[in-house]
Amino acid sequence: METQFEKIIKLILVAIVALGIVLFFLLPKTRLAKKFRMNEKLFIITNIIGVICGIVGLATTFIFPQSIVELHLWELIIAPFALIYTYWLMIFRIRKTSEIVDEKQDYNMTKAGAITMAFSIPAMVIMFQLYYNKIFDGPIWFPYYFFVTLLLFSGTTLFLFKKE
Amino acid sequence: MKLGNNIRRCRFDKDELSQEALAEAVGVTRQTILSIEKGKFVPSTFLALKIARFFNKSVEEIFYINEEEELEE
Repeated sequence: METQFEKIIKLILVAIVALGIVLFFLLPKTRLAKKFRMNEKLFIITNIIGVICGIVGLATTFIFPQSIVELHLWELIIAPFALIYTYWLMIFRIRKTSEIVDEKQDYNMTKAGAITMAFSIPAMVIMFQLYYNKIFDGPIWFPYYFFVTLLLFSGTTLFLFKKE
Repeated sequence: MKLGNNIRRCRFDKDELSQEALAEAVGVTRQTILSIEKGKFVPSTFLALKIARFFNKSVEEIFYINEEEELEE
């Protein structure tokens, strides 16, 4: 049976999705569209939000393993990242090009993607062990995998962008 | 073997141009210019040409192979 808390979360999620869709289709047609551009700050902020969402998501996965899926908490946690990514998509749409990041950012993201892929395998081995030893059950492997990859990808991209 | 460059000197020759202004002129981020100057990031041919064109110089005047490091290796 649906609880009051679950209803509120679902309402918030529907509102966020609706807001994202409205912004995606309407904002590029307004005067504000000229101001939409990718810059260093946006790139850094996106990755910082990715790291924060990843950490909060992983912590919630381990603290509330049942609620994170049943109460749709994981969707709520990724909402800030989804909204900022919607902004990226709007820039793609306005500029009519996929090249909105510069070549160093592109290189760092590619490298971070490869590192994330390599580390997500041992991360899933850990999850397999937790399932095998009956510590976890149900569908929490998905939010776990999602937040691990989000944290690894955003964190590595940010690190490489600043240090390389 | 590393790619050396004279971007920093070229910037100072050009009224102490900031990294940000150069980045804006060639369409990249300030962090990218910083990494190229430090020799940590090797730019594409296209970006190297854009930087050279901005300073009214040839690519060879801006970028060079660091011979010393090559000998050390």
